[in-house]
Amino acid sequence: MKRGRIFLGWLLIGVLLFPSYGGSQAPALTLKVAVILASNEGSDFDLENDAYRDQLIRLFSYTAYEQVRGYSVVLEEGEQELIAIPGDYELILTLQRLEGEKVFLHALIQKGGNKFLDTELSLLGPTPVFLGGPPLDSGNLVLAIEKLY
Amino acid sequence: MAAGEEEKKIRELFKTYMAEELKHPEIGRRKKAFIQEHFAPHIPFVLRPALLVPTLSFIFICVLALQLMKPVTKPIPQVALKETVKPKTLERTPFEEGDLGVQVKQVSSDMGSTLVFQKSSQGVPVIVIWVFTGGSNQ
Repeated sequence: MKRGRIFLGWLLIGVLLFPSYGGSQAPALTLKVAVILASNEGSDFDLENDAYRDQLIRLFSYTAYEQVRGYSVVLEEGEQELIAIPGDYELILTLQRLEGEKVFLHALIQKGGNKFLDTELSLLGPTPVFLGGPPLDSGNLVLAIEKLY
Repeated sequence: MAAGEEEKKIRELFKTYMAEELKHPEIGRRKKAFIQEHFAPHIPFVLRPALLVPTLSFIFICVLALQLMKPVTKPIPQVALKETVKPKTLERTPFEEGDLGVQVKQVSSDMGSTLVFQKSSQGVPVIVIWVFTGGSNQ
């Protein structure tokens, strides 16, 4: 009985000292994906991240931007995540590998089995990459993919 | 004759008085102090207290007007002009690959033509990968 208590005490100390024990974990990355509908209907800006506002104005000539969805995706090396986006499109993100601060990513936008956009890219800093073109309603979808620290 | 003698007497008295005053300078100083105390000195018309403020204001306005007119009439020195109008040459530094936060390895699409373009936003190069489907309004 006494031995059992001692064993449980050591076990508890062990769990408290080494909470992450259980094998080495693959490095993970968090990506922020903002799905923005760009159109020429109105002149409203409805974005969660105000930093995108200036970038979108400089990059495109649309008059209205509305963030329709926002996602945070946590990926481990070699892992894949499917995100359903408006207009029956799917965004499939695959974290190919991590090399220090550099992230090698595969992004695929597809609809009904057709590849709308298939790209491989590497992200180094906090600069977002804008993937665009999927038509929706009277505008186009713009996907801002950004690496989170 | 009496008048002539009286005149002589007055002259003698005056001479004596003047001689006494010269002998004792203290008398002269007292006289001067008395005059300064009881008789106001002559002030020019424009410097009288009632007119002093308007006079000074007028002078100030005149000086100000002259200062404002100066740059209009004064020719611009050629040396200064050459220095200020000297054109500056802007040096453009090309983008280095290391500056880009994003590098695109491969792009393809079954739906239309693709375009990868880079634009600087607030000094930060931003990458856009776009698919032109033809019917859209981009």
